[in-house]
Amino acid sequence: MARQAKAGDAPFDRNVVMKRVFLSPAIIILLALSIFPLLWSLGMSVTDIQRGDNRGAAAAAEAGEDSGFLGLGFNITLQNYQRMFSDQRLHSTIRNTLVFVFSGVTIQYVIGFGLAMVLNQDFRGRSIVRVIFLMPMMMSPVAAAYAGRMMFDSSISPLAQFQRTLTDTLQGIGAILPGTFLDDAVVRIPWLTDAGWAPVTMVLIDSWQWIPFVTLLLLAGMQTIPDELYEAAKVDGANSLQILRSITFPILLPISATVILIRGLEIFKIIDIIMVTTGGGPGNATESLTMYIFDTALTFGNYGYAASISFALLATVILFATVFLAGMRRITPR
Amino acid sequence: MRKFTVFVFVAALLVLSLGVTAQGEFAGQTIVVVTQTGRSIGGPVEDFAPEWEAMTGADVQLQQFAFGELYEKMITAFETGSIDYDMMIFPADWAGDFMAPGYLEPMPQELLDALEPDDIIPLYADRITAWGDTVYALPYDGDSHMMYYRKDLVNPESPYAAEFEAEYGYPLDEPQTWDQYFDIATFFNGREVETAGEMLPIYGVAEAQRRNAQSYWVYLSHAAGYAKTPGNPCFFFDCADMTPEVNNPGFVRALEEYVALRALGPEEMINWDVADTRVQFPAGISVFNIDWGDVGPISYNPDASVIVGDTGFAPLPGGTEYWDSQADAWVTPESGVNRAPFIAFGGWIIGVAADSDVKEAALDFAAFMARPELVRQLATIPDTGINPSRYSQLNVEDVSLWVESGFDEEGAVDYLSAILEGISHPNYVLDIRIRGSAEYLSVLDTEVARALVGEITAQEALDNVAAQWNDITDRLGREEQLAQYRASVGYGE
Repeated sequence: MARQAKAGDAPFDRNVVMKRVFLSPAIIILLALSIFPLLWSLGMSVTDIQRGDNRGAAAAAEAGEDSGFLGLGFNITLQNYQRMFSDQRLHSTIRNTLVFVFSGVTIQYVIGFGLAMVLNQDFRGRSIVRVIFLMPMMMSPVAAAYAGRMMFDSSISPLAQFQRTLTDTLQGIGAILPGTFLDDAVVRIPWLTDAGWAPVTMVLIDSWQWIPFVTLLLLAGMQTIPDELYEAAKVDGANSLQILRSITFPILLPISATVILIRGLEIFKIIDIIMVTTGGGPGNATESLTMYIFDTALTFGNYGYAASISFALLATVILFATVFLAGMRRITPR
Repeated sequence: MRKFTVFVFVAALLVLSLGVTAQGEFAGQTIVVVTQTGRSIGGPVEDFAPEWEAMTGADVQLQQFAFGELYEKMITAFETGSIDYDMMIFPADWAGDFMAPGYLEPMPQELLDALEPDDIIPLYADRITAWGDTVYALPYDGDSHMMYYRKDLVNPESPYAAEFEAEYGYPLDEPQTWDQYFDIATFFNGREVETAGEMLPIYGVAEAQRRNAQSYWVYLSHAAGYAKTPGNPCFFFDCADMTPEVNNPGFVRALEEYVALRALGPEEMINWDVADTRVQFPAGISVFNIDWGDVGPISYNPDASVIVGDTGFAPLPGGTEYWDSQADAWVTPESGVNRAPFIAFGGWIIGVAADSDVKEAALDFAAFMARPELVRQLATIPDTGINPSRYSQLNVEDVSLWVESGFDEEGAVDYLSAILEGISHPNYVLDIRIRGSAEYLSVLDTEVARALVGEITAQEALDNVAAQWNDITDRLGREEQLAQYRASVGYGE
């Protein structure tokens, strides 16, 4: 019979000690590889450290001048966090990133849900269709971005050709029916060359790659719903929309929350597609927060400022995730 | 125990035999070379290192990184003292970060003397490879922007000459000024012309305008003719106090023209870097292109070009007037054109880490790669990324190497003359080569991109650049930056 621990017992419990001993390597590794760098960069965020400070510090120390905190060539300061409020480029990257996140997650979830419902039906060749359908997800994001860049090119792409054909067709109809607006109709969308359309194109390329992921998870969830529930609903006279609203959607809510959270967090970090397709342009239209952090740290060498933006991003993401999960908990049926 | 003895014996024999076979001045040493990925610039190291290895007994390890990562890799190795790389082939722009702090080994005089120093164009010998009076690098690639144009369309005997002259009031010929460049581009834009035997519509220009790439250098080529004052080496900053000049009327006018060029090129041009225009211009899509010297050999490569023999080469056009920031006024030069060739980027140069523990071997290999006969050959081969930096490479009396590589004689002379005229011009403009150059140029890139899409005006964009440049200068230390800028342009020499 297991011994029950009571208040006032001696603190030494061999089992507990052994558990801690065996757990300690994992905890130490976690601390070393994750927590320590996190704290280190948090420390950096309150310094004015930038590339080249060490050589400046050495010269300053030699000259008997201020060589910074502990002689390391930098100073403790909160100016990075102040600078964030006046940095217009940062503000535009935050706006762009939020647009990517909310529009991307919405499109991917809605289309992914619909496709999961289609793939959940019985039809011939369903297995092959599922495999083909998952292929974009297996591509590297850079390859997907190149495919997107070629697809959305304004002059030499299948899409551009389709737009030209559509324009010719409409104008042909306009010639037959003069006086209609079709006479001079032009179908031309500047997918990558217009500051208004380019962010939309980024979301479409990202969605093309990641809708299969959303579909896969939702399909897995759908297949766990017992058929008896659907049969009972049909016996009660429920139509398809009522079944979706009262059975499928509520049961899938926990999985939906997970999918939305994962995709939301991933899009928050979007960089690869943008780098390949527009480089952040036209103008500042598609520059993301991660791209700006990358430039700030590795191109400009402003490590302190890059760390402070990273922490602001981390705080934003944690806040977003917490609010979202709290909201989901409230509406998830128990 | 016996096995162990045999193993030790065999190992000893192996070591002895290696000692016998590995002969040469640097036998057993390994030098690590770092540069960008791809065949361009790094390719010749892969091709020619085995020859040097066989001569010296040393090993060469080539490490390549994407251009976007290269600076960070090198500077991190320098600053942490990790000595990851012994020899680096790097952009001359980074001199302020690499040479000024003493991270590179000064080049020994005997080594420089062995590389035909009189053959090196002074711009590279005295300025690009040096910091102050000390030479820290060897010239490998020469880089300056130039103009390419369809000479079958733009010439006084062109079928379009009469129509052009009637419309614009002067003969159709190689443009000398940006105004003429603009007129000719406007005249041809959208017109059907004969290209590779077919009548096809052509654009006026194919210029790189992509953000976060290399397009700001193209804009600066436009700006040089309007904002460079002859006799004053300072262009980006005022050499008195480091005040940015980037928002003066000369720069603004150039940006307004660069924005207006959007309408004279393909819509997709806003997402094109030079890698794209180097495909598009030889494909015959435009009348004009601004680029480094790489397009010359590409335009004569029948596998990549439909305009072989139809390409004209010329130095950058100039401004009909320029903004003199000291006089605070526009000045019209007597000649009618202010040429100011932009030494964009400045070329790839070879340096050796001061902390390298195989310094002698690295210096020897650097000299091997920078030797005149090799760079002469490399400059004629498409896709090596190597452009001329020596008089002998630009000798119009002997173009046999160029003809062997596919040029016709007239084209070779035209090409070499255009480069030579640019890099030997007294009013050339040097790129930013001081600490923080990457950040200064990135700020310019971002604001130019905003102006290109009409988000802000040219004046607003460049006012933003000036304000941010001041912030960067203050953060890095105005006095230090001023001293570096003066040294980098030879102010007061």
